[in-house]
Parts: sequence; C-alpha cells; structure tokens
Amino acid sequence: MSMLNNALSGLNAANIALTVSGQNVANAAVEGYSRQQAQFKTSNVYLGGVEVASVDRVVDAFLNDDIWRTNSDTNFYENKQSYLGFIEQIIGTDSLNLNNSLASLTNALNAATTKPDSQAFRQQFLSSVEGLMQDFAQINGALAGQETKLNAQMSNVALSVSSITKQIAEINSSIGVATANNQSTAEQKDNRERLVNQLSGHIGVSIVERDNGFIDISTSSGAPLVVGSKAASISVSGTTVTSEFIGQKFTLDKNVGGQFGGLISVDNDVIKPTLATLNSLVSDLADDMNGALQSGFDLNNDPGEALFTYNPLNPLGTIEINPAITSDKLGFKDSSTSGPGDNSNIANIVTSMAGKGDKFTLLVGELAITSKQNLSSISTATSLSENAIAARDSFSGVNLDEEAASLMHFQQMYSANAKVISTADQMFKSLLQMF
Amino acid sequence: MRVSSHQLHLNSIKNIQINTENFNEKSTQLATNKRILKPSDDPLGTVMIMNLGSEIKSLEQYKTNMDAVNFSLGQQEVQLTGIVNQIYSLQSLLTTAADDSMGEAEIKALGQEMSVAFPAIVDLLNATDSDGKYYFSGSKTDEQPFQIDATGNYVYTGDDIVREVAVSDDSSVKNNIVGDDLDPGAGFLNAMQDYLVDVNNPPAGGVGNQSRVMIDKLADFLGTISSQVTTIGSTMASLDSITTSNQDITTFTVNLQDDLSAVDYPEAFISMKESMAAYESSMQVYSTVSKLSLFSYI
Repeated sequence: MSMLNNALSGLNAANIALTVSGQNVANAAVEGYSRQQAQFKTSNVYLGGVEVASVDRVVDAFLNDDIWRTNSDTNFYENKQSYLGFIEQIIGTDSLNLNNSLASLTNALNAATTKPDSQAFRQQFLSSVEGLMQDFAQINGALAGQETKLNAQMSNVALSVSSITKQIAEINSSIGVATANNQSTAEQKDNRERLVNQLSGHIGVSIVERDNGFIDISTSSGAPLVVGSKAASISVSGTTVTSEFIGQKFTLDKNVGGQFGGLISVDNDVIKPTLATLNSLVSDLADDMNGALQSGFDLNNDPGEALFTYNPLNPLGTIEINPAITSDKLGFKDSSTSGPGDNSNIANIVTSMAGKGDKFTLLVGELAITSKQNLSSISTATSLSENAIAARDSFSGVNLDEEAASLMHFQQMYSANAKVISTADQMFKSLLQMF
Repeated sequence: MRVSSHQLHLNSIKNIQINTENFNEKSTQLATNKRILKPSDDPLGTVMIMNLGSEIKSLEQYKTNMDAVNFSLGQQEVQLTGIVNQIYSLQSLLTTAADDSMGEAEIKALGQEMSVAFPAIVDLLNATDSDGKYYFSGSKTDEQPFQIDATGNYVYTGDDIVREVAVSDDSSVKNNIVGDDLDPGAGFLNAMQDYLVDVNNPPAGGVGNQSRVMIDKLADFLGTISSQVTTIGSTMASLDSITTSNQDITTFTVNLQDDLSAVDYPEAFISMKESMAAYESSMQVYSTVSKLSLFSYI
C-alpha cells in the first residue's frame, strides 16, 4: 500500500507544482507580481512519499525597500522638475526676456538725449515702459498660475496618500486574520506591496514588518502613516502639509521626499525665491527710476513726476505706470530754469537703471543651473530606481523559459509517479494471478 | 543574472524610448538651428547669450544716436557755413566803405546792401530744425536765441547748456553749438546794428574810421564762427571713427552670439543619424529576442 500512497503523494505534489507554474505563467505580465514556488519536503512518515510544505512568494524585503526609497527620490526630483522646467522656460524665453525690455527703455532714453524736447522721443520712452509692464504682467501671471496649480496638486496628493494609508491599514488587518488562521496571504501581500509602492511615490516611507504580518509605515522623518490597522490622514493648507495620526499633528517639510517633498521643495526653493528676486528687482527699478525722474524737472519746470506706482507687499503683481504721468511730465531736465532742450538728467535716469538687467540674467542663470542639477538628479534617481526594480524583478519576476522548464520537469515527475502506480498495480495483479 | 520575461520586455521598450528621445532632441535642434532649447541645456551659455544680446541692442542704439548727432551737427554746420558766406560779402562791402573817398550816395548804396546781408546772418543764428526748434539757443529750444530787447539792442536769450549724447558705454559727444559761443554777448550783432545806423545816415566826415573798426569786429566774428565749424568738423570726424569701431564690435559680438547659440550642423546631424541607427537596432533586437521561447519547443 505504501508504494501506491507514495506515488500518489508524488502525483499530488507534481500537480500542485504544475498549478503554481501555471499561476506564474498567467501572471507573468502583472506589475509587481512575485513569483511563487512550491516547497517540497519528504514526509515525516517512514517511506510516506513527499508533501508540499508551503507555496512561498519569492520575495526579498531589502530589494523592496530599495525600490521604495529610489521611487521616492525619482518622484521628488521629477515633480520638482515639472514646475522648475516650466518656470525656467517662462523666465528664459526670448519674448519675456526682461533684459530686452530694459534695453528698450535705455535705448529710448538714449535716443531722447539727441532731442529731449521732442514729444516723439518722450512718447517712445513711455511706450517702451508699457512693453516692460506687459512683460512683468505675463511673468506674474505665469508664476501665480504655478502656485495655484501647485496647491491643487498637493491637495490631490494628500487625498491619495490618505486613501492609500487607509487601504494598507485594512489589508494589514485582513493579513493578520489570515496569518492567524494559517491561510494564504500571497495575493494580499502583493497588493499591499503595490500600495506601498504607490505611497512611496507620494512620500518617502520607512517600513517595519511585524511577526503577525502587519507592516508599520512612517515618513522618513518619523511621522507615523500606518500603525497596524490604524492610518494617518494628510491635509494641505496653502502649501503647508500636515499629517494627523490619532489626534497627533506633524508638519511635513521637503525632507519627507517623494512627490510631496518635491512639491514642497519647488515652492520653498524655486517659486518663492524667484518671486522674491523679481519683487526686489521690480521695486528697486521703480524706486531708482522714480527717484531719478523726480530729481529732474519736466517741460513745465516742475519737479518730474514718478513713473511707477506699486504696492510694496506685492511689487511684481501691482506695478503699473503712474496714471498721472504724461510725456510732458518726464523729468529729463536738470534744472527748473533750463529750457526744454536740456537733457542733463536723462543720463542720471539711465544710470538709475544700471545693473537691473544683470539681476535678471543672474536669476535666469540660477534657475538654469538648479534645473540642470535637478535633471541630473532625475537621471541618477531614475537609473537607481530602474536598477532596484531590475534587482527585484530578477529575483521575484517570472521568467517564462524557467516556467516552461519547470512545467516539463514536474510533468516528468507526474509521469514517473504515475509509472510507479502502474508498477504497483502490475505487482498487485501478478500477485493475484498466482491464485 | 536571472532576467524575468517582463523585465526583458520593459527594457527593450525603454531602450526604444531613449533612442526616440535622442532622435527627437537632435531633430529639433536641426530644425530650429538652436543649440540651447531651454536654459538648463547650457546655463552659462544662456547667460552669455543674454548679456551679448543686451550689448548688441545698446550698440545698435549707439549707432542710431551717432546717426542722429551726425545729422543734427551737419544741419548746424550748414547754418554756420551760410553765416561765413554772409561774412565774406559783408567783408568786401565794409572794405569798400572804409575808403574815405566815398560820397554820401555811394555809402548809402553800400548801406542798403549791408542791410540785406546783416538780417540774413541774424536769421541763420536764429535757425530752426524741421520741428521748429532753435539750433543755437542751448536748452531753450523753444526760444529765439538772438532777440531785440526793449532798448533796441540784441540780446542772447538762450543758455549755455550743451546736450551730451552717449555714443558708446563710456563716451559722449556734444550735440549742439550754443549761441553765446557764436557771438558772445551779442557783441557783433549790436556793433553791426549801430554801424548800419551810421552807414544809412552817413555823417559829414564819412564812415571810414567806423568801417575800419567794424572790419576788425567782423574778423573776430568770423574767427568765432570758424572755430565752431572746426569743432563740429572734429566731432563728426571722431564720430566716423567711433562708428567704425562700433561696427567692428557689433560684428564681433553678433558672431560670438551665433557661435554660442547656433547648432553645429555636421555634429548634430551625425548624432541624429547615430540615434536613428541605435533606434533601429534596438527594435531589431526586440523583435528577434521576443521570438525566443522555450514554450515554442514543448
């Protein structure tokens, strides 16, 4: 009898192994699927054949950690770049090059030195100032649009993070139950890994796996996201990100990594400094030119009128041409007693504009360098992330040739065991024929 | 290394994408003739191109300024040359009047001729440009520079402000001649006006002495006018040489900017061809490798 049972256990084992191979082949193209392997072991019963000890997922937790870490990095730099690249293009575009507009102003002033009494030259100067105002308005509009977009994206990511942490907490509970009941958890664990993978794109995570099958997740700075079956929720106000876990609140900075980190960093390191530079450029230009014009005298021998007005709280957004100014009121003269042909103050106005264009060029240069560095960080992070995925796929992914070989191998095992049964059958028949 | 089937598939697709991206970048460069498609492609180059761009703009403006100054000084020179011609004809009339043997009728006839030449000089000193602005009144371009005041004397009503016009980053030229430099204190005009009164109503002793004094004053006037013509001439000559160097610098700067911003066509074309070849071969590899499977042999 033992020979039949023996062979039967072999048949069953081969059957399970073939099913596992079939499962692997079927899921070969599923992202994040970890291949499974039937583990055979010799039966504890004397000559009791073989038994399937377990069907294991072929997984290495360290390889997964690598994927999640590099995924956070890639998302950090890529999300930063999506804004940085846009701002760099806007500020650096030829048609919005403030240097050109400022040069038009200087040129109009230089032209007016030849005939300071000519309305045509004075008017040309005012028109070139209008051109500059349009550039300011367009740059301001583009940057304000980015802030709005940034805020909307952060709110979306916050919703997504909150929903993922909730799902992971739920899977944690059900894995806990399945583990306690000694049921298979492979599919649930694959699902949970896929969710952690998504989460790591949004925010940098650090994972601790517990014996009962639970995983605890915290941000890289230590704020809890999932503890057992409890999840944190994330909220965004303006560009401040707060996580809340059972009443405890944590403010997240750019060091949280992932998409959130990238977005926080773009706000703190790119949009705000760019606005600050442009604001100081605008207020300096307005103050200095106003000062120069007001220290001169206009065609009516009155002190020159200010050219610009702006709100000091938001110079770039509010600067406009002083409604009171007309071509007559430009203080091109140096004295209230000289005639309209006096151009002596124009040189002072030109001097007051000196260096403003350089500030802008410097800004473009800084943005370009930041963007270039970030692009190279992207390519480093991307290749590290690809390596991590490749390492995991090499270990956990399905190789169809290997599965084909396994299929043949277990088919042979099946046939061999069947042969053993038929041999046992023949032996039994031979025995019966004796009677 | 163990390679999963899914990984093999993804890798091949990634290679194809990388090559498409390279190909796209090179073909955009070729199509636009721009080496730098966005500032981060070459931050330093971008900054240099921007600086060179502003420099070219100001060089162009300096050129325009020089043209304007050249034109304006040319116009003023024409007026002054006109004055010189009138001075010459006055000179010969005065020389004739200085002859003591002249009779009253002859002196009066000379006086009539002088009365035509003199206002012509006044007109030229009060000349205006096409906008009706006075050339020689300093900054007070709306005010006629030489006027007759309540006492019947000529006075200079302009000022001595000279317009400096920038023609390069650190040099400027004078754009106007001031009336006070042409006839200081309107001395010549008043002397000539007084003299004309005498000539038109000659005293018994004739105008010989007065004419000789007047000849000296006319010679002084000619001297001041000529020296201003010379000033204009030398300013225009220096403008010519500044124009030449301005053009040289402009050409050089434009070339430099082109070198920085333009595509090196042969290089870009060859690397475009390279990425095309790589593109084709990675597709070839994929289609060959994807046919291999142990399942085909079972």
